[in-house]
Amino acid sequence: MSTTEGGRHEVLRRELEANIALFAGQLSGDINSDVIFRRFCFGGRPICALYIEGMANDEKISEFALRAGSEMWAGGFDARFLMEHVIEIAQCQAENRVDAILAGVVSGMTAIFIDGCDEAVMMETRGFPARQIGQPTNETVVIGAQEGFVESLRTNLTLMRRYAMSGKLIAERLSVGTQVPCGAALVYLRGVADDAVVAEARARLKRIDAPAVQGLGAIQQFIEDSPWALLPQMLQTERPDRAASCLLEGQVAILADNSPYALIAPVSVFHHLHTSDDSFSRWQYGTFLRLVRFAGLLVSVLLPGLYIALADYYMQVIPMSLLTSIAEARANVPFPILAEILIMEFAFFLMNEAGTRMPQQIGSALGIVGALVLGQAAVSASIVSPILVIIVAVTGLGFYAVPDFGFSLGLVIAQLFVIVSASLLGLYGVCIAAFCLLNGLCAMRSLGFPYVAPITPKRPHNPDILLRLPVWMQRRRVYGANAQREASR
Amino acid sequence: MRLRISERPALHAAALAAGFRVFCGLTLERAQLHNGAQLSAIIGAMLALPMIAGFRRIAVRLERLNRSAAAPLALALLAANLADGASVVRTIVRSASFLSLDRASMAALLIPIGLALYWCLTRNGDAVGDSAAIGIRVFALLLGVILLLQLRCYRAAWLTPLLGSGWPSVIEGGVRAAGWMVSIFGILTVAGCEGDEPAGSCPARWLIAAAGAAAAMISLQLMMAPTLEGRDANWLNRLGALLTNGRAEPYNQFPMIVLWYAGLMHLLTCEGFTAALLLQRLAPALDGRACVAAVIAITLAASRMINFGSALVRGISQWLYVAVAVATAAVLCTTRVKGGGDR
Repeated sequence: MSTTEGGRHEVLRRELEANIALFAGQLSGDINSDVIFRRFCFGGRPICALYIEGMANDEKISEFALRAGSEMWAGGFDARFLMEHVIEIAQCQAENRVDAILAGVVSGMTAIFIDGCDEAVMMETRGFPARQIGQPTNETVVIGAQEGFVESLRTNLTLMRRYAMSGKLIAERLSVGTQVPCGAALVYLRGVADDAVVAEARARLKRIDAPAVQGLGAIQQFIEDSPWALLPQMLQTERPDRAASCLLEGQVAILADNSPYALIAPVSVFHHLHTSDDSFSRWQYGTFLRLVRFAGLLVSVLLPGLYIALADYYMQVIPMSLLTSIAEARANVPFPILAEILIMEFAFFLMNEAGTRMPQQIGSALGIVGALVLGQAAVSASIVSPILVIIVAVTGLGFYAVPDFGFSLGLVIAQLFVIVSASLLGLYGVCIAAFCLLNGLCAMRSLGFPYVAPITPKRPHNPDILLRLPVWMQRRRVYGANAQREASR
Repeated sequence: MRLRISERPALHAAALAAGFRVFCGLTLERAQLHNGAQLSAIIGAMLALPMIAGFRRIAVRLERLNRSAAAPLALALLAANLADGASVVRTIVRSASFLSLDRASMAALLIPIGLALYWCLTRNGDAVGDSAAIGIRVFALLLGVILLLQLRCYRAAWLTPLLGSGWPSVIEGGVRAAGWMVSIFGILTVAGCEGDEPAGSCPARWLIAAAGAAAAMISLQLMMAPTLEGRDANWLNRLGALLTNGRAEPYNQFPMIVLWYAGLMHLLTCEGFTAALLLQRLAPALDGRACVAAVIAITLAASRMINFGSALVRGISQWLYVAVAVATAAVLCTTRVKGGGDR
């Protein structure tokens, strides 16, 4: 087997049978019945088409390759001649590297080998079944576009191009994973995104040396700045309109095969609290909804801890009437408040997890049954007090108000830290825990950018952080080279 | 690990810490000032202003000169921050004990603060400064809430006589306030302009803002709780008056307590980080984590002896400004002789 200079790539041989034997070995053609070697002749010359049934579109192969070739004149030809004069498929290229041909074939392309030619024609015949574009399931909006990403990288790239119709939109295709490669794309707007950010994202993607990378979730874990941090440093969105708006702000998006969402970076903590609704609505409504979300975040992290601290350690700040009702409600509960809270929190997250994994029809019923029966029964059995049910319910609503699923899970863990601190040290513990969380947040980076920017360190930004002021006031890009240039002016 | 802090985060951290230190110091340590404390804060800022300008020049020169030239100043600032950090730890612990944890042992209260301090300081300086920048906003919000909740209770008449016990007392308080300010703003001697730091950060502006905020907080406190010499002679009584926010309704005390704890934590992290950073500049071979651990160990150990209002702390604060001024002047003179100018 011959190789190119440097011995890096194995290349095709001129003998057709040798090439067929090579790929039959690589793809285990004797075992895999869906690996098709279709032999035929063009102008009396032996040719073989290699593709995988189901991944490639049979009709395209018959229509544009086999039928066209059957009408060919009987003369000398090679791969490039076929591409230029015979094959009518829009996308095809000549290729001689074995690994590239193999990668193309397993992704649904068709390779045509010609006897006496050391190049194959790679035809774009991908036609595997894929989910149609539908509504986003986790990022629903009341007003706005109703399209979500799907599992096909090509479809997702098309969606991105539709929502950011610009010649400056760049989609760099990459392959991640050394043994089982996963197709990915780094998408950005040239001239808007900071070159250093793009280079950093590209370098991190190329540094991944895992044998197999299963989708964007794994990619995110490989490339984020602080893998030990509680909160995600990249934004996952399944909405192409949101991804496109991030590109317009100078951020980069990463898409991957089999992942129906995009990863956005760099992001700040505030991006995790934004939704598309904010932008589609009038600024007053968007601002109001954001403040509600932010309050939900604070409540979800701090409320149970504060309840423990005040009810257990510092009762004098609770108004007397409320204190009396808390005491009466807790009179028959045999457990300390910490145990009460942990029991209820565990029950809540158990219901949440069970509801997520169950079929949709049962899941919705489970939520109602859980909320009504379990909560009521726990109160009746004096396991928990009624006020605690209210606190856990409000806390849960706070978590659900946070649009990013990964972010809200990080908040759950932070909440447990606050609860434990509060039970040990009261308000002193809550303050220490909150202070540690704040410092941790300030130390985080997203693709090198501070996680709490542009608030601190202060950077030029649109009035679109906690408050969402009118669109006509938003003239700056948030991140990237141009934001830095604007800052230095 | 190399400890570092950029200039703007250093200013955020120092401004918040200095403002709060002046408020604590003039309220708890110098209650006999009565109403003159606001003026002391302003006088302190005026005295500290030229020194802080000197710190910036020293920071620039230290990049080029032998560090032994700056050793006297670094040692003075290190000692001041360690001693003050210890008194802050003690105040946090006494506050926790006073509020609700009176049965908890000293160790049970010290260990969490030590662990939290280690976590925060090892996030490095920019995180300390950035959290202070957020802290400034939270403080403003909490003060706004406190103001609204107690608007009807304030008695402006209690701000008179404006000079309190008289000029000598006000000036003495001003010198102490200047000492706290210069020791905290000493972080500027080791703050570097790294990364994409926007230009235009002005230490004088931050210092004046800190003094103004301290004066405003003292005024609000005085309008809620008139100082009574007999009762206020006891440090714990003064702390009690501060934390219960004078005549505030019990359920309105909550924001003041949160503000108190948060302010002390910010003050402690700023002083702790300054001390650790100075220690690493004096002994560059030391790892940053080791410096932080050493500073925390010394601070916690010393906190058993030092307390706000104690004779030791009063003595230190009385001479702090003079000590740092002499060390600063010595460094400036030395570097001028060796370096031959500011360029």
